Amino acid sequence: MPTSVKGASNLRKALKQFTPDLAKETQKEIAGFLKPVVRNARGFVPSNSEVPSGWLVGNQKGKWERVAFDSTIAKRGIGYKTTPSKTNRSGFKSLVSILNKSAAGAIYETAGRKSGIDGRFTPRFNGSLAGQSQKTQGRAMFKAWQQDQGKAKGAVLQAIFNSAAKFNAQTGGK
Amino acid sequence: MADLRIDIASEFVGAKAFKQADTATARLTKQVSTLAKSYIGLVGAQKLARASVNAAKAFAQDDKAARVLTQSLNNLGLAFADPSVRTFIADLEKQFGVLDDQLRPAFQRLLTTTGSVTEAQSLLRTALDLSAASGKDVVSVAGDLSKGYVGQTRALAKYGIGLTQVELKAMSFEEVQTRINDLFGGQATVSADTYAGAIQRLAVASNNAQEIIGGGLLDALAALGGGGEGGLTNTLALIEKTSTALATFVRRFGVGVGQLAALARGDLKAFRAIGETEMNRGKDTSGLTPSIKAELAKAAADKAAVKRAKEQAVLTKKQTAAIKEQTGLQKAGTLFDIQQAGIIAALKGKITDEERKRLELQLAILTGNTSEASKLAGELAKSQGLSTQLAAYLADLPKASNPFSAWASYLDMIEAQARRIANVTPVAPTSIAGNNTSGTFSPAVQDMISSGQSLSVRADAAGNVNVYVAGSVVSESDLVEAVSNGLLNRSLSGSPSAIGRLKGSFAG
Repeated sequence: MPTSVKGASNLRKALKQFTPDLAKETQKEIAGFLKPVVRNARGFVPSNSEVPSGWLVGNQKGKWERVAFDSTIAKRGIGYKTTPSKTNRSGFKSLVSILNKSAAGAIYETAGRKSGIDGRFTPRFNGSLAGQSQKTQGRAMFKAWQQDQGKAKGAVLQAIFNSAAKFNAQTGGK
Repeated sequence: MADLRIDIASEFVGAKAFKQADTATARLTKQVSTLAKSYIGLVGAQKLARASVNAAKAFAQDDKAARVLTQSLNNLGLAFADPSVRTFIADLEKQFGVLDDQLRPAFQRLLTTTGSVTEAQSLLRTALDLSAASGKDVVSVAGDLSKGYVGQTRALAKYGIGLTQVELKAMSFEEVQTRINDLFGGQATVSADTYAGAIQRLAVASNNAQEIIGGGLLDALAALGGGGEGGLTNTLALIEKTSTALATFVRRFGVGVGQLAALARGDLKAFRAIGETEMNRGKDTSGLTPSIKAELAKAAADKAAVKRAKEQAVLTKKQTAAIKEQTGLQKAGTLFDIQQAGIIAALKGKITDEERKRLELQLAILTGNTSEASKLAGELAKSQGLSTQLAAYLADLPKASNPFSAWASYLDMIEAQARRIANVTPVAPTSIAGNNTSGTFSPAVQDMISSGQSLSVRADAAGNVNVYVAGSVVSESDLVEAVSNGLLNRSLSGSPSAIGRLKGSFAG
């Protein structure tokens, strides 16, 4: 569950407009907190030799070709984002997030969430799903996030608050 | 596939849909407000329109009744009296508070019966008095008076005029009318002077006002359409066009509101669907050319017609069968009714069991004793079945032969034999062994006979054969009788004819 920060978008706009240096600094600071989590998450992505050979790129044809696994692509798909997203249907805008964008990475991340680790495919992924609720369970990104135990989240929020404070200090606001 | 993401920080900025909903709600509120105002105006306009329509309708009905009465007067050759009749009815209406809607039909009825304006006017006054006294409407009373005028006085007795049917028949109508006038004269005037009569007259005035307004309205409508004969038609066409336009406006307004509601929900599909439905309203979306569509419609209509015809035929057949069955039952019922007495009488007589069962069954059917009828029907069927079996058995039996059929040929043969024997000339016996006159064969021949050897008789060189016959020679009749007895015994000693006799199946 993300933490809702009131006025964060306006803060970002203000930072960019009035204190661009502080804006860049804040971005870098936030990225510094997220990078270890991303690195850790990428580390959980298996190599090509560790996944079922039939799933690998080159062995999948047709409509399944899009979801074929390649370790490099899957690792590259895990990243972070510090720019605001579009507002979703519920009216929320994401400010900072960690992503697992590739299709194969998402499959590796979430396979077995609903149907359990059963059958001939999911049991061949090492380890069970980490995380508490179904929507936050995973093998790579969510596992790294769980292992981080909220440290990154706290640091990011603190960085935002700090930048707000600095901005107010620089601009003479409250 | 949605991106897998972990949102670390977010901000609630409000959904776009919320803003849309706000806008849509604001617009809807504004439009509803406008609609309410329009509705209030519309209701007022509707009431006015309804009142106008009622007025026009009342005028039209009144005009129609007046024209009908005028035509009746014309038909009776009393057209000259039309203005006076109009005045008479208008005066009565004002005087007694009875609507001309009732007075005109009543007067017309009396006029057509009597054929005289004066008579009709006199009778209408009587009818008004009688109506006021009895509480019945003037049209009914006028109808009864019309009947009485032509001799059917039965209906007048119900008004309590103190005359029996016999007296009514014996009296002339003038006398009856005089009696009615004596009894009920002035009732209408008195009734009109009461409060109820005053209210009635007020209603008459209101009705007349409505008719006058209606007439004016129709004239105005005609003038709106250019006046003259086609004026009203033009106005009606204009009203129709206006109504269509108004209906289109109202419908499209509803479509707009529906689309706004869909937009507020964020349901763009519904928004588009509502719009498309309205755009395609009345259009053919089947994609068929008109000729093909017409052909298909014709084929479907033909098919439906054939189906209907078949159904009709089946129905007719069923009805015919039902009618036939019912007719048969009625006929059978009639027959039973006629025969019922006969059945009972027959049951008392000396009849066989089967006949008794038949009669009892018929009686049971007649009396509606279904259980007994069912039981008897079963027994009768069983009895009939046994009789049939017996008849079939007898029919299958082999034909018995006549044991005496062969007698004729036998007797003919016997007769021929007897005739031949009678014609034989006796020859003196001679010894077959020289001069042997002892009457016996020679010892050698005797030996041959006794030993059972076959006797060989040879004639001599001269051809003479001597036979010695032992015992006496019988007469011809005795011989015939002996032969006959022999044949008879033979025939009765185990031949097929004898078996036939034992079986007892001699024919004839």
